[in-house]
Amino acid sequence: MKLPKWQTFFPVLIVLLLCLLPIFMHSPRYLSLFDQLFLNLVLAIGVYSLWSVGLINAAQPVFFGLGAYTVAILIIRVHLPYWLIFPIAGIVPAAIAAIFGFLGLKMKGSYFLFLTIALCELMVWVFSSWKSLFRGQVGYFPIPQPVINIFGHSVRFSESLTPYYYLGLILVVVTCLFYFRIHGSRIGRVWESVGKNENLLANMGISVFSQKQICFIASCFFAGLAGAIYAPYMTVVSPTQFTLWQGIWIVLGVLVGGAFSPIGAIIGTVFMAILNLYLTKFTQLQPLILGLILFLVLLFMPSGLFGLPERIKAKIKDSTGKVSELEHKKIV
Amino acid sequence: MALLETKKLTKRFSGLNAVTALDLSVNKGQILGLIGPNGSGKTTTFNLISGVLHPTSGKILFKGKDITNYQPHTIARMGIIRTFQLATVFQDLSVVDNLQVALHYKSGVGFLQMLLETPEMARRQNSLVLEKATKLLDIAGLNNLASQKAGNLSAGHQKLMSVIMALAGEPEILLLDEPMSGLNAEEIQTLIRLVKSIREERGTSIIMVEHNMKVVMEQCEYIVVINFGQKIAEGTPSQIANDKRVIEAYLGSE
Repeated sequence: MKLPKWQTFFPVLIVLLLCLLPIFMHSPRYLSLFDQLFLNLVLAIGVYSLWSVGLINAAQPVFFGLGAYTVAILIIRVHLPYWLIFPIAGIVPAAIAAIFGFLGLKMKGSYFLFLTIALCELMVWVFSSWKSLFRGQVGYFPIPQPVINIFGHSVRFSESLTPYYYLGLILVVVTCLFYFRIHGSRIGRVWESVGKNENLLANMGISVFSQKQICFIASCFFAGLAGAIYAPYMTVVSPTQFTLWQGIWIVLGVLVGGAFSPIGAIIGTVFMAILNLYLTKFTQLQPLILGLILFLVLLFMPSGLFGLPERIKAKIKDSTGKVSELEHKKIV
Repeated sequence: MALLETKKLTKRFSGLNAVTALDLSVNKGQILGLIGPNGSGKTTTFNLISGVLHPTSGKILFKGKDITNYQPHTIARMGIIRTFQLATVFQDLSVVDNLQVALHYKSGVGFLQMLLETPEMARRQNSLVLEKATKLLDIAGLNNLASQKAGNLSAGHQKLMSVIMALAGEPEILLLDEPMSGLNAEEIQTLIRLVKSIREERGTSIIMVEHNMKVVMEQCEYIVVINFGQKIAEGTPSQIANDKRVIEAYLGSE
């Protein structure tokens, strides 16, 4: 997909700035915030992708957690090196997704959402109760810090948060490249149509089930990789870290930003992260505020923040009927 | 050997006999009309042949192979493609994007390939698909509307789109479900010309479910009449026109 020059320039600029940020900002608190944001972005883009095939996934923390636990278990009990465990941490949740998919993906969109809610609660219970594998409420602690050798230099993750920052940044950039590529291509068009008219697609020789499977497995793979960074970064992996509440938060982020585009998912997740910063003082009010946001967005801004400019434009101008970049990706 | 045959095709919906012991056959390059009053089971028959519904009993044979109970996308891949009466195109995509989706399977490029291919390969693939899409749009005369949102097109244009989208899959048999419904006289002529050229240039067989008697009588070489899910008559247009049972079944229709 050919992008106008400014559209390729802007993201490159942002990534460059993010690369340089740790040089000017040493505060571990801020590095940590950004790293968390990067991981949340990876989760959010996966949720967006599944949203494009008509499925809302509130269980993203499950696959995130599976990745984290995979790292914890393989580092502490099997003593595998981190670089080897990292891809495995993506494959394990992807495999679980494939199995879950055989049952869950044959259902209609709304049932799938309920199923993911159930899955989330189920997995939290499994994480807490299967003590021999997951070590219950205590979980895995401490998780040894990785040491990666690049070009002869040893990168010690134990020394500061900076390596985690860059690892997170690399993952989110790779995830973006992957998903922008896919969703800008013909496959992206196919996936968007899956959500809308399955009979028509089957008639074109496209197996809707296979497309949904591919989408789901990919999104859980990346969620697992994010979990692989999270585990040593937090030094502890326990069931309380992966809740349905977080899953809903991620879904809301995608909705608020605009569930029809990966850019929307990014904007929305950043928005929610900033909101979260201010809300830490008012934890009692969190559910109320989230509910309010959901209510307002669904009523007044169903295409989310990213959809606002187009909606304003459309209201001012006469519609020529020509397909704008945005118009043909509306969710509602 | 007939290209497509149904043998004693039956579909029961708890108490309702939608289709009963239907025997149909279509030969290569033939235009077959399937007619009958409303509710006689025509669309159900299409749903059975295209795999959307599975029959209660009976068989469907394509080129001699038993395809009963196959999945819809498998049947489409084998060469039987249909159009739908309603929801014929993807409303939110542009016309050309609709075509691109329709061409996706035939483009032979899967998910893994799309990930791994170089920008050069991707560009070449995309221009090939775009070429095919443009040719199809040409056939229907829709090229000037390529970037329009499909939902904004008139009913007639959307119908034309749905036919060329079905063509994109390079079918051997095209099942047209009431293609003429909702079209004005001029649009009907355009669609008839399109259907004729499809048959002439590609040798595609066509089964047409249609209520527009004039079109059926003029375009179809052979007609099967069903009522209450059962075949009540078959023959050439002139035989059907004079068949008492058919006239009775259609009492009051056009």
